Amino acid sequence: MKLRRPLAGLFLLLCLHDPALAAAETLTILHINDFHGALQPTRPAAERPEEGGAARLAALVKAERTPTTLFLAAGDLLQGTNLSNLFAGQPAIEAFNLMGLDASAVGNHEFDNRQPALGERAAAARFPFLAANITGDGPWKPAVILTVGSLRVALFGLTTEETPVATHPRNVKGLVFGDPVATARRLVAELRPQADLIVALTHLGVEEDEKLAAAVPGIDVIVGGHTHTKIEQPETIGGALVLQAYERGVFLGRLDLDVTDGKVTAHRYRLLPVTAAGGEDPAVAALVTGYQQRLCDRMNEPVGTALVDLEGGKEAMRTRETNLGDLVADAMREAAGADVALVNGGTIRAGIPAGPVTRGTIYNALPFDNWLISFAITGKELREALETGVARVEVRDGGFSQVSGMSFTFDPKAPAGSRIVAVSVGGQPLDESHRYVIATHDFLAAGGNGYTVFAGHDPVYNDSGRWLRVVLEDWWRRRGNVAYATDGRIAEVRP
Amino acid sequence: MSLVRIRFNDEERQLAAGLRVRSLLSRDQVVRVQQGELVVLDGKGRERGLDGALTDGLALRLAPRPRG
Repeated sequence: MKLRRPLAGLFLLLCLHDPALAAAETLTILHINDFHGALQPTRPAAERPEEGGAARLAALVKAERTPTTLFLAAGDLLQGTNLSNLFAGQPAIEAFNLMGLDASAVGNHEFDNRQPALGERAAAARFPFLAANITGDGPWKPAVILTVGSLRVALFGLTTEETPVATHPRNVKGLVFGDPVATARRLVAELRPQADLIVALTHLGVEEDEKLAAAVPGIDVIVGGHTHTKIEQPETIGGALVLQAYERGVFLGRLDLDVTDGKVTAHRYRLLPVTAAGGEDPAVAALVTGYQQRLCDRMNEPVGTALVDLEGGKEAMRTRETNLGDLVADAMREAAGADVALVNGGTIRAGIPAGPVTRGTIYNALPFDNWLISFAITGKELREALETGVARVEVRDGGFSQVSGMSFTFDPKAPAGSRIVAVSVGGQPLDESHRYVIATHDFLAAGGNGYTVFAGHDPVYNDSGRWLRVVLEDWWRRRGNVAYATDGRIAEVRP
Repeated sequence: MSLVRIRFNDEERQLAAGLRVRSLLSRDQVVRVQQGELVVLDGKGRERGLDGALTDGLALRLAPRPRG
């Protein structure tokens, strides 16, 4: 229906004089979480299209921007790929500077390169890192108030309380991670009189975000991360919209809020896939290409020399002791300060030939993103773990144990579960009631490869931001030249 | 809190805090998730990424990816 001209004029006049209609504005929030240094697109499987990538994300952000847009990240921006890790997160900072990121929460993995490096990255960022519940010196702010169009938008950050137990204590020395709900109550009371809208930028996980929304009235939007949850449409809990956009910049979330006099009157939401179809931002593409070239140099950096061939072939790693298995397990035990170490043969994917060893050589041998973790178990549990390791030796199972600090003899012909013939730890017979600290990695610590006996133990060492390959690289650099021979720590009963 | 309790495929698990979804899966299952054959879903049917944190009280299941 067309309005006749005099009526249309009257309608316009009413709009201009109605305070509610006159103050109406739409705020667009673009958001990501858990980017984890995913600067390059990834192809999850051969038959699937590429996903994500900083240059494509940047192009999509540019295309979706309106004059009243905030672009936000919910933490864990920096750590997770060789390309970002080997430059301590700097490429991700530069990419998000080019994208015009407005703010990021502090994720638990922001501490992986230790606090001085986080300080340097934050100083290079043209956006603030936000964390209101971390007490102690750091480069973050509790909150900021940004003016977007005619709206004053308050943003405050919250970081998971699990951070101190999910990373090495040295990474969070001097910091206290407080209760997010109590912190949010205080922040909302302080910020509400100064702002039209309040946005919590959190790295807590979606379940904690839901609790936060229910417990703290006055938050309009929670932009969350940590659990890598794909929320197709935001839930409204206690008046707050709870968002999370999966992981690694594979999706960009877009929330449009219609706001009238400081009240959200309507919202629309889409999860936008980041694909090749949207093109690439040339400046970000050039940045990533530059770092890729520098990454090649970093991968070719010498670490030391192997004075002998180190055996890492699949058949050997899954059936018997090898000198590379010994070496990796010894490096793990040393790094964790544990009594013993156990790593499954399937973790080690390639041998290291005699000659110069580069970073790339080590990364090729240990390609998986597993980290070191240690905990105390009884001697009885240790025996059970070793039984697990040899239970499927005849099918070359990846669970076969390579060990350090202990030796064992097994009979591959005996029934599974009864194959361990003898075990000694530190040269002494295994004491089934004694508690030994064992170093392993996160996959086995969760009960992977059948090592269910490892699950549920309280860790005494947990360094989730430092992959095993980095542990081995550091071990090698301290030694330079390495010659390793098997020493009989794994023996097989032969007829 | 250095331990978390979760349910995975209807089985109660107690785990070290800081582990992630990927830690629960075999290498083969990880590949099948990456290939789009399987998906990890939470109690509300929302997809979880492989590197998502395992937080206390979480319920997850590994399921065939819904068609469409």
